[in-house]
Amino acid sequence: MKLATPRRLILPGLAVAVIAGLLSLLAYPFPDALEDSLESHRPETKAAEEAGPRPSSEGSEGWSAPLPDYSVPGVKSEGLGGALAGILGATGTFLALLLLLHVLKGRGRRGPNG
Amino acid sequence: MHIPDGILAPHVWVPLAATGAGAVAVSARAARKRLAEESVPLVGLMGAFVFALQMVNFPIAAGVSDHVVGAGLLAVTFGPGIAVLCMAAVVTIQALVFGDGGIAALGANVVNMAVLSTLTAWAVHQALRPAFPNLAVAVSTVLGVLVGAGGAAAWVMLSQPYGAKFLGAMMVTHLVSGLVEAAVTLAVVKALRASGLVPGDARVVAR
Repeated sequence: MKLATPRRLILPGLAVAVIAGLLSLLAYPFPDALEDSLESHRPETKAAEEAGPRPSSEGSEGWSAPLPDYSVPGVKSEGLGGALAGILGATGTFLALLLLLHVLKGRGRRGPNG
Repeated sequence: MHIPDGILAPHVWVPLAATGAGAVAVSARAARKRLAEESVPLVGLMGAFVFALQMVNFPIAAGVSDHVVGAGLLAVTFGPGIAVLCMAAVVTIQALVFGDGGIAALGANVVNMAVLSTLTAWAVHQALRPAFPNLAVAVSTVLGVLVGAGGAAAWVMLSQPYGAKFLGAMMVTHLVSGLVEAAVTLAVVKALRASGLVPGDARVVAR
């Protein structure tokens, strides 16, 4: 059984870059199914309105995403920013998983309990 | 399907954060034993692929979009341990780097997309695969999406007085996006089988 070697992953890697950097720009720019359901079926009781089931930064205090909403701060063109954010995100995900799995495998070699 | 912050109550998101962390730890142990060293780059690439696919929202009704989750694809390709880990990494990066999904809600989103969707898809695929190899991919993907969306709806309803209409809307919209995702997943799985990158029998990668 031939397993995937990095050379054989070049074409699939390019495909990922095209999806993240180009196809993503064609995304349908409306709320997703969860956001739409939350908005359309918002509870009508007064208490609920006061509690306000609205997305907010509550719980995210002390953390702000460096590339909010798949944009790159400082890049004015929405298209270019989105493409950059997509490629950065896909590359970052790839590298993060590589690192994570590498560390996991490394630990596995030390012994059954390592 | 990413729950933002400000929706879930602490009595809901705190236990879910613990559950998500526990599930990731268990999957990491499973992945460590089963992952072949040579397939590490492929798993990384599939994670990047799922991240990229999730950026491509498609219309499911006028003014409503959704995107594939990718849990079915990862579960079918790599088995449960690696799929949970991979999906959790994607969801975590989306929250921390892109603000897609809340920080407090991260555990809930990991539980929905990386645990519920992934494990449902894997179990259904295992059950159907011997008799219906292609149908198994499609059905497991749809059910994975629906169970993940059901989880999201449940956590919202435990936090706020949302009612049956909300649950119904969640199920109908995610059935539509799940069907689209099933077609995408089946096409990708067939392409992967044809490419020889991943064997038709996923157990060889996730050995």
